[in-house]
Amino acid sequence: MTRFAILTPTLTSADAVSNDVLMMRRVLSERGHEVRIFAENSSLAGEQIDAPAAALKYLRAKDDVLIYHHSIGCASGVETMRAATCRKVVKYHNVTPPEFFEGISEQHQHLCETGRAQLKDIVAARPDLYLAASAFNRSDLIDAGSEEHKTFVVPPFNQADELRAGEADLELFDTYHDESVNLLMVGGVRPNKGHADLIEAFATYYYHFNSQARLFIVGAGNNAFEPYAAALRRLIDEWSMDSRIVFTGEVSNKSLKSYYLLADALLMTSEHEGFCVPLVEAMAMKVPIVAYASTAIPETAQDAALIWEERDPFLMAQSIDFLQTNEAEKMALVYRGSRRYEENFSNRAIEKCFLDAISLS
Amino acid sequence: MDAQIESDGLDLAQLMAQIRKDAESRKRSSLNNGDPARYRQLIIQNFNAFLAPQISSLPPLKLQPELEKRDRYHVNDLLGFHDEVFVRNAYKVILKREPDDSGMAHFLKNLRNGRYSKLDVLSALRFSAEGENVNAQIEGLSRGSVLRKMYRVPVAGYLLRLAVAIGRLPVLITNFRRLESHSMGQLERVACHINDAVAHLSHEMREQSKANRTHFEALQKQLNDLKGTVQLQIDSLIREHEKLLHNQSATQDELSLRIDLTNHHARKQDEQQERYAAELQALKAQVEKQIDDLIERLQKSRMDIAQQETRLSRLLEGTELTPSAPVQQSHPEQDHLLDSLYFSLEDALRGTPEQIKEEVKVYLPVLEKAGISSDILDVGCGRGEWLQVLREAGFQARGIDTNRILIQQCKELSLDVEEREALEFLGSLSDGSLNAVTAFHFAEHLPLETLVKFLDEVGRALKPGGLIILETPNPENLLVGSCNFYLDPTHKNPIPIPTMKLLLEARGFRCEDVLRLHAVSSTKIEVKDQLTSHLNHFLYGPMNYAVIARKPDTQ
Repeated sequence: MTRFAILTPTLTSADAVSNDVLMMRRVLSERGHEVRIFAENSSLAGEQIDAPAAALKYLRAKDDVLIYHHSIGCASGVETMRAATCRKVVKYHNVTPPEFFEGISEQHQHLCETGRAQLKDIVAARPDLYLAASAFNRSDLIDAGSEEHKTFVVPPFNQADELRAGEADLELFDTYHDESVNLLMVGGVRPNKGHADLIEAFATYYYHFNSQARLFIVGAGNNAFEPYAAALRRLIDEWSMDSRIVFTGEVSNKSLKSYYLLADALLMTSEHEGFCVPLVEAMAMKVPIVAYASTAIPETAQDAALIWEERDPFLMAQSIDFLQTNEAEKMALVYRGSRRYEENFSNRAIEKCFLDAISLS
Repeated sequence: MDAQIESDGLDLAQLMAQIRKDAESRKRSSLNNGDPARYRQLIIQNFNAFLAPQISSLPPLKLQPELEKRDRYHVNDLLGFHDEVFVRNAYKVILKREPDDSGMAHFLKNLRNGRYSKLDVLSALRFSAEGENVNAQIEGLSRGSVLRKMYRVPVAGYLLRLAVAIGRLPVLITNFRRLESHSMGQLERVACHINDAVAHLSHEMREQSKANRTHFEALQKQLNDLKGTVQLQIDSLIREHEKLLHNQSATQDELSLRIDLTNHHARKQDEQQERYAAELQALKAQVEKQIDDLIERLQKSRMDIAQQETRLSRLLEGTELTPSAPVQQSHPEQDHLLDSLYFSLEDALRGTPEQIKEEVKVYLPVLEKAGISSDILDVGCGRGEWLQVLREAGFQARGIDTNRILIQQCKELSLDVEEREALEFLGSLSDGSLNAVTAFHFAEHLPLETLVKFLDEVGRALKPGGLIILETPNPENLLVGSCNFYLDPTHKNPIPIPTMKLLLEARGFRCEDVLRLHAVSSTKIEVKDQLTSHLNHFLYGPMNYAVIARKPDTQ
């Protein structure tokens, strides 16, 4: 039995990093290890979460393990890594480039600048093991100075298994289950998610291919990004599409399942992703994916999606139309995705990958 | 990737190339003339414009400086402020608090009507009970209040103030000049600010109207582009429509032409088919006739051979009978021992003569059809019913039988009959001297060898094309085969229809017809199913049959 401390800046619902943290704890606990989570902020009810400062007291022995999840500027995280004398693991989820927040949120711009700069500090704390959510993230770590033989790709644990097995919100499903082609984007309303491109692609499909179409943008907003949200609203207004685009805000897993069941395709236009969990959810839920190639997106979806190098809305719209009219190809693509999910991104597969990696440290 | 193509048959690269091609063509036909860059630019420009910070505005005009925060103040620090700001700052510095409403009103009123100078206000605040309590350090503020209080004494106070004022006149003049230049300076700043504001606003308005004009021009251009595109599209649609109409009428013409052609072909085909059918029919008839001729010849040859055989065997036996020298043989007496017995049997078993006469009338049409009216021989003529029927119908016929009693009876009816043995009688006839030979209930009395000889003799004595009619009990009827046949003890064996036909054909005859006769109609079982139908056939079916055969024609 080993003692594990998992440290993360923030713990919140409907968040990829938080899900990874919670599942990691479950996997380690199931193997009889003692695990505690430490975070600066937590909005999860019923979770016993301690402040980062307590982690060093908890980690007494040399072979205890600290796993730090790095996703944004976090002084306490870096400080704990530096001070800890036990075995140290960093899980790198990538940090959004600060430019995205320019003129929108100084606070986030600053946090992201810090987060990116801290990568070097983390490497300087000489972790025993680096876990990167994707090969894209791994190359960031190596650029920052991590040793290649200590740096492994371990995809983030996710909720796709639960989505597959769980119940759907049938009332919601019935509300939108009609003649319309339902398109889906999953991800927080953040400036790096490429919503302008998404709306443009959808408008192109709507005006040039099929006016019986609807777009769900599923994900939490943030008051800090209000100028961005306002700009999106004006853009939608310009296109006269406010009745066809639905911002759902944060949703329960039950509702999320309904949106995936409704979706004819997932559109992913994000401009920066360290892994992109919605792609895995879509593959698990057998929803075809149309995406712009950016950061880790091509790596996560590989040949189970239609991925375009150029950000051309006509390519997006034509892809949607193709999927609507070519059932056989659509099914082949969807089954490729489903296979890819089962082989690489189900929690069972990730668990094996994770345990293999940490047994090396 | 290759493995993927094999496993699910999806070639992603090819598929995406197709989508790219389709997208390009869709783009070309889109309203913005397929210029995605411009299209995109428009959107992104708008988006960036939404995100851009708002236009900077002029800072607000402040005519009095902010009060600097310090531990110690000099009177002059405060005297630079005026009016409300002065009172507020005095409170903040001296009493360390914001002025209350009544205090502010009091001091403002007295300052504005000139009763208090600024120094009066400062002293009043500093040396009030609250001011003493706070004890703020203000340099250059002396009590000097005795003099100031004396000012408030009527008349003397006024004179004192006058004296002091006259004495301080040069200082007052200096102060007044300072105030004047300060006021002018402030006014100048106000004017400058107003000018700046006007300049700023007009600049903004110019910029705005420029932007509006650009935007308007862009919109106008877009509208024109759109108009052009729409016009082009309408034109192309109209052209397309005309082309379609033209194509349609061309297609219609072609179609009707093709229909005509097809109909014509069909008619021709029908005619040809009819012609072929007729030809085929003719061919068939021809072939049938040839087959018939062949069979005829075959049968003729058979009959010839049979007769050659007969002659040969007689020759071998040395008993050749020549037709020119018929043997007149009388039958030995013992052969007639059974004559009377058979006579009574005939009456009992065969039926009444009237009944028989009715039954044998069935053969008249057969003879008529073959054009036979003479040279008919009835072998085993019995009571002569058939000979009577023939005579009544105008046919010329004779009969033979070996039963004396029956012959006697026939002679009494003036029928042309002889008491003769069949083979012997036939042997006495010359070749081809008979048109027809009939033998009713005769064959079943003969042993096979004799029957064959009989057939051979008939074949010889008949003219080519002559008929032989043989009637005999039908063993297909089980009662006949198993029982009734043997009611006549002189019967040898029942002869089934195929056997009879075989014998005739083997001796060179051609079988023309088989008549199944004399079914039992009265005692039939009511037909309910297949079984009863079968039973009816086997038990109550035709009791007799007749084979009608012909001697082949010579070619």
